[in-house]
Amino acid sequence: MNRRPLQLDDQALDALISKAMGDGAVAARNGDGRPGLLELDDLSPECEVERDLATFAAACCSDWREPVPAALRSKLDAAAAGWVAASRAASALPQKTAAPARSDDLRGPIPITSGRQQAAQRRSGQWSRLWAIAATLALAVVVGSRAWSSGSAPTQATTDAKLAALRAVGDVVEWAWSAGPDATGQAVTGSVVWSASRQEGYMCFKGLASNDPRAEQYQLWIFDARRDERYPVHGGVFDAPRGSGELVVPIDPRLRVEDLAAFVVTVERPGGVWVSDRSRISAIAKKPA
Amino acid sequence: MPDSILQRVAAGDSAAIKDCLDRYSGLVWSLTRRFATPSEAEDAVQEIFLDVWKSAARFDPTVASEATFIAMIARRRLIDRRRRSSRQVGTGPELHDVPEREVRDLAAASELGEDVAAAVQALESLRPDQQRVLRLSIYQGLSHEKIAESTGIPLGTVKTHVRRGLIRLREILSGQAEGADVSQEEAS
Repeated sequence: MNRRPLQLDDQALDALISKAMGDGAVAARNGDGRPGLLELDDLSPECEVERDLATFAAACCSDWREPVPAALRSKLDAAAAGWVAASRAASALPQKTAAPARSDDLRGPIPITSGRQQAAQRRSGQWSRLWAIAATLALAVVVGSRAWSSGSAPTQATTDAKLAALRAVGDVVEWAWSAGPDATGQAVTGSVVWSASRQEGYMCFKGLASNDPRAEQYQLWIFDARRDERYPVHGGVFDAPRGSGELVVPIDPRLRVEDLAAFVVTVERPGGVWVSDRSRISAIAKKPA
Repeated sequence: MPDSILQRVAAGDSAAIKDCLDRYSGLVWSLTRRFATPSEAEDAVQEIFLDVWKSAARFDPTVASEATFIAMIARRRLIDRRRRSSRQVGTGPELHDVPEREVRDLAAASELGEDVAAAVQALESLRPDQQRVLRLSIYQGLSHEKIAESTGIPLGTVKTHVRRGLIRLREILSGQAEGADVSQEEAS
C-alpha cells in the first residue's frame, strides 16, 4: 500500500484533522447523521487523513489480541449467523438489473469515478438488498442485547420468579447491603443474592434513592479476589425509578467472577463508566468475615 | 482469487464472517471501549461489524490494511454515536487515565498490517508527551480543546503534536523517512 505525503500546509492539514476527529464533517456528507460509507475507498485528502487517524487508532490497540467478553462474542456469532442467513436468502432472490437503492443506502452524488470504484458501486446494488434483509435479522440480535440495561429490563414478576428459583440453588450466597457514603444510599436496606456456579445474581433494594437517568445512573461493580482490586468487574447499569418500593435488579457480570469479595454500587454518568473514580458510593455488600 | 478476509466476505464466503470476528473483534472491542459507555458498547460493536460486512466490497488492499479499513468504519460509527449521545445527555468524552508511554509490541502490530506497524514506528519516534497527546486525540477521541484543557498543554502545541504524528506516518509509509527524530524537531 502506498500513502504519499499529503501536499497540504499546516493550516489545511489541521482543518482536515479536526474534521476527521468528528466535528460533524463526516456525517454531514450524508446529511442524516449517519457516516458515509461511500467514501471508505475515497482517495481525497480528507479521507486520507481520516484513514491515517484510523491506522493510528489501530496501532494504539495493544490489547487487540485479547478475546472479547464471552457474552459479546455470543451476540456477535448470532449477528453473523443472521448475516449469513440473509446472504443465502438474498442469493436465492431473482436478480434485478436496476434495483432502486434504499433510502438509507446510496445517498447523494457519488464522488468517485475510478473503474474500481465504479465496480464497487455496482456491487453495492446487490449488497443493498442483502443489507436490507440482514439489517432486519440483525436488529433482533441488537435489540436482544439490550436486555441487560435498565431500559428493557425483564418484568418485575419474571425477575421475582427467577430470584426465587435462584435462591433454591445450593451454592447461593446472600449478603446484606450497607449504606455507602453517598446520600443516595443512606436509607438503603436489602441484600444481594449470587450463585457462583450459575454466574447469576440479583440485587434487592429498599430505600435506594430514585435517580434521573438523564443526569446519572447507578452502576454495579463486582470485586473478585483473584483480580486486580483497581479493576472490578462491571455488573450493569440500572435505575431506581421514583416510588419503586422494593427494587430487584438482575446482575449482568461482563466477566466471569471466580472468587467473590464484594458488591459495590456507585453513581455514574448516564451509560456508566469503564473505570469509576469511586467518588459516589451508594451501597456496599461485603463477604462476611 | 480473493484471499483477504474482507475480500472473502465480499465474495459471499460465509466462513469468512467468522474469520472476521475471530481476527478483528478484539480490535473493534478495544476501540469501542475507549469511545462508548459500558451500556452502549456491545450494541456499538455489533453495529460496526454489520457495517464492516456490508462494506467489505469497498476494501482495497492497495490503499490500506484490513485493520485500518475496519478501524475507519469503527471510528465513524463511534463518533456518530458519541455525537448523538452528547446531544441527548449533554456530556462529552472524558479524559481517562493514560500513561505517557505504553509498551508496544511491533510484532503484534505487524500482524494487523504494514501501515499499522508503520504507525507504531511513527508513535515510537515521538516524545512520550507527544505520544500521549496523539493517543488521547486519536484513540480516545478527545477534541484538541479538551486535551489542552485537561493536560495544560497549549492548544497550538496539541495540534502540532497530532499533525507531526500524521506527517511522520506518511513519511514512513512512503519510504521518505530519513531517520529524523520528530521529537527533536518539536523541541527546537
